Amino acid sequence: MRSLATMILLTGVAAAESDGAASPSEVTEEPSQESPIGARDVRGAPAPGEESGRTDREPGDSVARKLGRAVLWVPRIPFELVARPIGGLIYLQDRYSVASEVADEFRTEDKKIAVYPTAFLETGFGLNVGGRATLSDVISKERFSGRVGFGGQYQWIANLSLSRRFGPVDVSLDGHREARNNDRFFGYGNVNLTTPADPIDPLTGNAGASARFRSRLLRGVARAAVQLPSNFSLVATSAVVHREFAPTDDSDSIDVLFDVMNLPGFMSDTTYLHDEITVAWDTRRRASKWDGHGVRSAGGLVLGFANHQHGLDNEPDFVRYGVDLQRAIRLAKGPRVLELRLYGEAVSGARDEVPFSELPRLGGANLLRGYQSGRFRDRIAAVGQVRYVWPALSWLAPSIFVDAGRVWASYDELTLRDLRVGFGGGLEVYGRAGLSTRAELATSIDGGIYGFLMFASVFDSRMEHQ
Amino acid sequence: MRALFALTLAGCAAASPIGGARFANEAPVWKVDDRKDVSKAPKKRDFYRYSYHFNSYYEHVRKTFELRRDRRALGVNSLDEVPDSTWFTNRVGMREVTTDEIRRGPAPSSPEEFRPWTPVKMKIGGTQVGFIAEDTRGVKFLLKFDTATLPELETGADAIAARLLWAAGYNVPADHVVYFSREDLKLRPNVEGLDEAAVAKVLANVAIENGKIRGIASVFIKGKILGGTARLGTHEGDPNDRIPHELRRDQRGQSALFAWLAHTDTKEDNTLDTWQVDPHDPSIHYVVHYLIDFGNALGADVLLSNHLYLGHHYEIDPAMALSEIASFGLIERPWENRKLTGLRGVGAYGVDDYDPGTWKPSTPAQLPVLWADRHDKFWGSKILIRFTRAQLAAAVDAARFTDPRSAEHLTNMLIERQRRTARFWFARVNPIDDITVRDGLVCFTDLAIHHKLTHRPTTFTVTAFDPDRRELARTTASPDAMGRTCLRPQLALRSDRYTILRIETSRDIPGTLVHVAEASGELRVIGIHRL
Repeated sequence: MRSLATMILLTGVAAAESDGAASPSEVTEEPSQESPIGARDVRGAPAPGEESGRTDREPGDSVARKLGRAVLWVPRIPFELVARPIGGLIYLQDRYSVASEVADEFRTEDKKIAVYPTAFLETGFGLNVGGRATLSDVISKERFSGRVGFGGQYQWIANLSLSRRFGPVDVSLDGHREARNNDRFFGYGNVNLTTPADPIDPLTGNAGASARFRSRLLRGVARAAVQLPSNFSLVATSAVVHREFAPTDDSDSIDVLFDVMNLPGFMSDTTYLHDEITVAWDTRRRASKWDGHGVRSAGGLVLGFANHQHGLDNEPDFVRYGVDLQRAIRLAKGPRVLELRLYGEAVSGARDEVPFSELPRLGGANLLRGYQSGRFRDRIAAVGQVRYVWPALSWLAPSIFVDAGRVWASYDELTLRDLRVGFGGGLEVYGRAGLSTRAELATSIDGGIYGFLMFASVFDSRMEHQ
Repeated sequence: MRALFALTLAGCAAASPIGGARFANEAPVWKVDDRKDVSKAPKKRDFYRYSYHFNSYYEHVRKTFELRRDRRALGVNSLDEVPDSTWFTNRVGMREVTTDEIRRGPAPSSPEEFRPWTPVKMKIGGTQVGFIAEDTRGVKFLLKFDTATLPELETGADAIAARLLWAAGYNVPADHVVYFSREDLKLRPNVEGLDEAAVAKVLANVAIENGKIRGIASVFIKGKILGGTARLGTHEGDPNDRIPHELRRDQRGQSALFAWLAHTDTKEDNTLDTWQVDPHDPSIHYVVHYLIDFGNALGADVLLSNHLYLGHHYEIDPAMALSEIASFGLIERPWENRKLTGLRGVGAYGVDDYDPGTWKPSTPAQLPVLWADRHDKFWGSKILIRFTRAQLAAAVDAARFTDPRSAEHLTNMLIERQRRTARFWFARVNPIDDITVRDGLVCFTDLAIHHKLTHRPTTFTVTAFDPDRRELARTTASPDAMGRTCLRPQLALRSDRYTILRIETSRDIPGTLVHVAEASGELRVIGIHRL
């Protein structure tokens, strides 16, 4: 998931530059087939504006119009206060290419090396400031990037990655370290939230609560992805992930609301070696060249993954596995599209063995919208999503959606009773390269309203996770 | 109290059957003198694309907040026509424009007749690839090519639209469809950025059939470039430019013509002002105004951009977006069923989804076109309906389509859209024209009947008034099969016989006020005011 961030989106008007058929220099003249009109031919004629022959005077504005104009100054003031500075900024950009001038200050002339500051206002978390560095094609056709940031949903974050393409294979190495102060834990299962008098036993208690905890993560990932014929792709990932957890100092700290002694993985650090294989058959595409860029109006996705997690500090091994099935149905031209998705994942280990951080979760911006991120977690999670997307403009598509899902402790308990249902609507903005921004508002049968501003499709959440 | 009095007066004037317009007893002006010497070239106008488009929206909102009165266009003579100027020259329907003239366009010869060519510079900017070249006469031109996957499309649209707008009265560059072979390009040695490899790179993206390359040669406009024509106000430093452009009839009247030609790509950077030397007196300079670049017209833009909505709403169209969001996509829009012929060189140019009243360019940028009123569009429609089938076919012929079905289809569509455009605006402004007075007999032609755009039975009621609003007499008359009506009105008993004839049609269209008066014992039309 990319960071939740607000930004000013300046949508460019696709306008071709003039092919102005003229030259500033002296040119040999192409003769005209009409006898050219010159100054001598119009000598004595009236000047422009004096040709009407009218002897009456044009009436001025009526009193009613003047009064109306005065009244409209009230809404006009805020309009001017907003529009003028925006217009000024656009002019500065047009006139002086401010953005590229500023960007040039942070990169080498050949643009291969760049170091620049970053600032993200993360919805619900606050400001994250830091810096980013990129090196492209310095040695060969590799891309190296690094990032540090402080604040927002992180106490701090540091990331280094290196990627390079070898023929059809994309290879990447990624090192990541982060510290978070405000992670949430709601308990296990499909439980309702309460304010418990005593700490809840997460494994056996039939209730949940909104608790905070701190986490530290250190991760190293090696990944190879290959695009195969016939829309198949294969991704192999190997990662070492070390996690540490701690309570907070707040009254809703996890150790106040839950019996953390019975919360697997909380009291002791965990270190896992992940080996994952993902196979996908992805035929999602524009059904017609007349459909907007980025709209997936046909095709589907069949994705399966299996992830063997091997405990490096005597933690129990287990397998995490899942499927992501999607289908886009073009209902009509435009396109009006119905998107269907069924996503499920599970772990093989017992509830009291698998660290709580490794369990499947629902809620947030991608899976079971209308609920807080990580609101439900257990050994098995599944969500069905239905989304109707239609075009407003060629680059703007509204959508409405319903997500329904829940978690289960085991396959024996599988039932569709007590499904959690979230629903809402959103707007997607597309660029030539596809989806650029997704803004959604969601609520659920359990109440609460959640807003998201994302830079990836909701239906790419598993792809993003990889 | 004074304000109330003024309001009452204004109300009375508006309610008057003959309005407030009065004309001098003079012959109409058919040319204006905007060719007075401008010894120093006016400052070149800079064009900032994003500011320009942002300001388009800003100006529309500002106009709403300012409750600006809809002003009638200026730059018209007493007959509501546009006199010749550096902006516009009356051509089709006002003088004989032969089919050969239309086929050739503004210039009698094409660079194709003067090969080989010498490329002198690569083309900068724009979406079409190309370069600047010089023919054996030394005439410079911009050589542009079609997108390889859409052969003959942009070049054909450009050639046709340029000719029709030229014949309509506008200044355009001489754009010629040309065929040539690679051997016709003779490179000069040591021209920076223009070597065999550069030419090969350009031509690699161009369709070459049977060794022939098709392009469009746009001959350079003479003079010093001053940038695009400002859409609002006048050009600073040009004393001949006295009428704010948003009020010019020749600019606003483009609306109907552009709708007819589906010229959606209308914007400031597709216009050009140049400071030119007078053709007869080299000591005199003035600014001449051009329209340029029509490669996206005739539905070519739809195929080039894969946007079916073009002509129906703007690329960034808040009203349309809100309407679509609120409708949940349940309303089928007319452009969704746009028919494409698949004919070579033919864009999405048809009539099934064409509504002259709601047609829109791709951006709300060209404010004079967007702020045009029904009178401006009526004026444009009067021009476009003058084109005969032969003249339209001649313009299409200039596109040199390799498939004759393309030419036939485009000619038919031009005629159908021409008629639909005229029918629409002739139903909103009383379409009487060619008003003549001879021996006391006033005659006029109903253009809708003349062009067979209506079959509704029509009678005219002509009421004569003296200038002091006193009704003199009322007559009814019916037009003949060609729409011509003649009647002898009663005239006012003034020395100049100044009489205002209110001509109303039975087709529920606001009337027309025809002002007549005597000069040297002869009655003549001295003014037309369309209600």
